[in-house]
Amino acid sequence: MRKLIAMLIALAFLTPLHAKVHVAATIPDYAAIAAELGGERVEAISLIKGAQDPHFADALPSHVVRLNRADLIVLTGCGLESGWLPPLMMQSRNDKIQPGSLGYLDASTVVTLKEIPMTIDKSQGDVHPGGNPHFYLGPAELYAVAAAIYDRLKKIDPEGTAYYDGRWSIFRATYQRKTAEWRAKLAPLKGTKVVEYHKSWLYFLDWAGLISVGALEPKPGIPPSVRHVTDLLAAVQGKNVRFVIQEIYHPQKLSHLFAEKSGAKLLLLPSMTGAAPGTDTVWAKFDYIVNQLTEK
Amino acid sequence: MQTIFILLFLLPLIAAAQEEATDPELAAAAAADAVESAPKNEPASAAPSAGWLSENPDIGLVADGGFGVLWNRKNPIEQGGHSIDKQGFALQGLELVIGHAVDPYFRFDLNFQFVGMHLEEAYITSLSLPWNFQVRGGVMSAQMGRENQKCIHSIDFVNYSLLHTRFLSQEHFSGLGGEISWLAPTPWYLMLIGQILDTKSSIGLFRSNTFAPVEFTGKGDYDGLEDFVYLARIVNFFELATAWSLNVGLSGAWGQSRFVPDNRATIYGADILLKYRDVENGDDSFAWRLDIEALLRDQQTPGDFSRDIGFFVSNHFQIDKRWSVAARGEWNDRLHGTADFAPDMQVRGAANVTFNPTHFSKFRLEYDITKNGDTPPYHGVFLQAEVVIGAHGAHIF
Repeated sequence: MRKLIAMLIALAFLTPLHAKVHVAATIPDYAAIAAELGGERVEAISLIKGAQDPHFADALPSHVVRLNRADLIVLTGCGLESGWLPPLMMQSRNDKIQPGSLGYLDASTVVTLKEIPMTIDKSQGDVHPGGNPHFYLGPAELYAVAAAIYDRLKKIDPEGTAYYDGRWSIFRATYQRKTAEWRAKLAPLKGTKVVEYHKSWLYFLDWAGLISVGALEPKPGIPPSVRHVTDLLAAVQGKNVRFVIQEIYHPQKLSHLFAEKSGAKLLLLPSMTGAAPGTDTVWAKFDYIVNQLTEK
Repeated sequence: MQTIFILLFLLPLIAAAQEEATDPELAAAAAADAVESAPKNEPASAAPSAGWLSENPDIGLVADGGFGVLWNRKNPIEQGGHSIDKQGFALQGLELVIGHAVDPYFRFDLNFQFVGMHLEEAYITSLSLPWNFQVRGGVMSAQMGRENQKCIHSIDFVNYSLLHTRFLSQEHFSGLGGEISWLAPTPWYLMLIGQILDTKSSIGLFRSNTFAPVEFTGKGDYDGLEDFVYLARIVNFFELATAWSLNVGLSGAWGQSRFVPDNRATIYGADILLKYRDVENGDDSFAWRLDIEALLRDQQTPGDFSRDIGFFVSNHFQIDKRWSVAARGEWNDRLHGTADFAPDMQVRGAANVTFNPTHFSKFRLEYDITKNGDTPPYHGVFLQAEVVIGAHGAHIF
């Protein structure tokens, strides 16, 4: 028993000697970006999986361990993770990643948020007070988050500045190349009307020039009812809605029915990296989305 | 023991002192960082948008209540002010929840219960102690099993388990005191917790169905450290696979027996939580949870001792985001002795279906069959409703 306690205490003192910068991200997109920008100097993990609903993740005690060892936490903010992240942060015993610290990056503070409510009223559904938090679906917003992660990595690990600068140049060039490629592919779809399941595609649709004409959820976070879906079906008749798009983690029964009756194509798209096979980088995620939308 | 108290008191001060004792070179670097704090590589459009943030603490209100119908009730089990254990309407809880960071070193949380007008919890938590330590001080639930840490609105049934009522408290087993916990630097989650609770009942903050208040000795004040209640808990959590997780806890509590002044009582507890939730293959709302808690209690009685044992096993199926079903079996018995308020054996089975219109409201229909001692079993049907407004953070896993 004494040996075990001595070993645990020794481990406690050895922990800070890890050379790599440990990045904990609430969603896999930020972890993928950190891994891409940080290369061998960074170890990045995501607290939730790509196919998981970020609103309703479990506050797993194992996340406390991950946060305890993190040098940087990257979160979406806007209340997206408020149902599970705060107790983990408090229990992490890691002042490096507490709000206000260099190791705390609230991504919502580096993007221009959309759909900021004038009043906070839960009768309007699960409205996020800071605005629509699904900006990880917007390439431009994700680029802004990447820039902020790059900046933080340099501050946390100044010795690696030149290394991060090099990787940032590659990231920026890839962004320019890929966004040009995606825009070219999506150009014929400009003005195409879509119906969303949850109002989470706003940033992507705006970026791509597609138009949302409604959502299957009557209000954010309220599951679709037969009545609302029937009303929506009547409202979109004759409007040439081409796609019904939704995340992988939402139920699909009503979506299939709506798509069938409206003549639209139902697309189950990865809202976060890793949600679909072969989408482990942010580039692959948007490749997948663009390919699904442009597939003949 | 005095050394431990002094250390508990000094740890937060040590942390604050460490913060102050920054070397001048680091301070200069920090000042330089502050000057160039804006990320240089942000696109021009990026601007802070969090104008909705305020200094106000998070405030929430949780209301639980319902209606009960009971049959053949000859020998009911009284489960306290927050249960539906009588015929008719019941307001189980109206709980005000407030919490916020005090400063970089502490957070403050408060739960005030309007039903019965009492303070449930009010404590500060350290945020920046070194070496993975954390301390709490104030009125807090005892670290005995998992259910005792949960509010009425976060349990899967209309009422707390019989185990809870008989061994711990009809409220929460709680009191004014201090706690120190240590997150071990192991690859898995391993938490060690030590707690001490004040037992003065005159201030109305000590709630226990096992341990005696200090006034029981007749002196009305502490003779020594043996008059406090001490608790220890160890928690392990394992991610067995992507979809499976396991939480295992062991707890112990030591204090004064409520039957004989200056005699002892102890509770030992074990709890297991096994959960399945597939988060990799589409709709992730389906989940299954198995909760088992068991307690063993010894209490010294005049010329003898009393030994009780009890457990519950509960299954909870989250079918989709709105619907869930749950079933629980409970059994308490006395292995030795006679001096206690409860009859020897208590058995209950419960099953319910719950509908959550959103995360902020809930309706539950439950059927219970209960056998209390030698009297025939009685039946109950309960309808429970709950609403939550404002901010109320996540509970323990």
